[in-house]
Amino acid sequence: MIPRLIPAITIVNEKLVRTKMFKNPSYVGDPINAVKIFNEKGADELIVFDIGVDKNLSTPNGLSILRNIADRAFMPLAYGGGITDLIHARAIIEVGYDKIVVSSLQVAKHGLRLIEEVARVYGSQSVAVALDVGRTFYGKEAVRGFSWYTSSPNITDLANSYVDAGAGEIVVRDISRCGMGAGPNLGLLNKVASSVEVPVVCAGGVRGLEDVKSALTAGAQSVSASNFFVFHGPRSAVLITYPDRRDLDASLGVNL
Amino acid sequence: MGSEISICILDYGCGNITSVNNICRHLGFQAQVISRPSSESYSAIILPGVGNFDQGMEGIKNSGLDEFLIQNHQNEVPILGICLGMQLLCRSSEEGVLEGLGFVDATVKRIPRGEDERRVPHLGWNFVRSRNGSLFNAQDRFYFAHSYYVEPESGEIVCGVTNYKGFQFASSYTSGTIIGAQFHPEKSHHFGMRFLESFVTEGNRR
Repeated sequence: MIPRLIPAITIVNEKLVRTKMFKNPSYVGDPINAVKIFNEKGADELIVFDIGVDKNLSTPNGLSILRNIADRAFMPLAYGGGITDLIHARAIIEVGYDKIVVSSLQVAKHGLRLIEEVARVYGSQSVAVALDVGRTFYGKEAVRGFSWYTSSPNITDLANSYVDAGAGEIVVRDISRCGMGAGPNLGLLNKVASSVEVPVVCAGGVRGLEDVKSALTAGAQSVSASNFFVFHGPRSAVLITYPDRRDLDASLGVNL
Repeated sequence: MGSEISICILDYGCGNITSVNNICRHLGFQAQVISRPSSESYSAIILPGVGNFDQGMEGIKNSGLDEFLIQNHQNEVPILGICLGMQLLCRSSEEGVLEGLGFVDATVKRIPRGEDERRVPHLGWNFVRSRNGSLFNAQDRFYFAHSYYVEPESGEIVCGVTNYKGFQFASSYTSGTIIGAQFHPEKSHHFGMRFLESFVTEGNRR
């Protein structure tokens, strides 16, 4: 099994953006260009998040940017953002995505049936649930989607409820670390990874290969990152990059 | 050469047809998606598939594509089964109660969980090593997303093996004019493209 390093790109109104904790998006460039580059560099997988408020997953027009991305990607594709029912999931999957990502917030609003229905029709490997964990005003760990007093001890029960409903993968995402360049939350990751039996993705705060290695050691089967792959070069040029396969294999100790 | 080859991709309601179509076109092959039997003749047929066994068999039978497959198999048109497709070509599966197409002497079983390291589904990239031939190059790796695996009656049909945390299984078989791939070549960028190209071009040199 080869650990996966998965770029996650965020789009708003069909433009590629960077965010800090999913807020304050700043323009980066053209998402299609980014996908082409990730393709050329042999990225393991790609996650697309659309955080725009005007997006419309119910019309062919609304799906066009997603379709354009899918047409050019020859690696596994996941999409997250605004999926509230099976109809959305079907539209996304039929446009060429292999899995949908729903957040703990969405599941809290729309129920476990969101996971159950998609898993029943398309299989568990088509549903990943992002367990979004933030901090309360008092600095306590809390899951997004629940009132602030649902704290750490219930996180593993919650993760398991997603798995029981059919989720094939859990993304452990510390929101307070997303876009902040502070390293991933290894304690949270380890707690969830040792309590579920499905593959776990670490997301939020990954700065480089050292963070990737720590996340894998802490129990993740794969690691997702956004800003790690996006560089601001001289004169505000944006460069999108992915580690060379040999360097990555060597770094992660992968051998035949 | 690319424009003379026409590939038929079967849409029986299970699976990501779009990606298979995209990669075939990207490789320069003419590809046609059909959801009902067609009397056209094709250079090769791809049976993709994502989902569960019984759902897959029902989809194939309800669309009449089982007859189409039987006919083409008798005419020795090369058939590539991908993921669930590879499993449906077998005799039966632990995942369901329906019988498979039975073109390949094999059954399908659930991947055994192995302590806390081997999680199911087997999700991600893994190596495929050649067996009984050299279809795969060293370092070839592909994307897998499955909870069940194929167990052939005889090891002779196995052409690729994969090791998932100590569990070894047949990730690819060839039986007559049929090839099975447990992985997704359409999701394995340049590795997958090379695999598909050899399936299409070598299959047509017979």
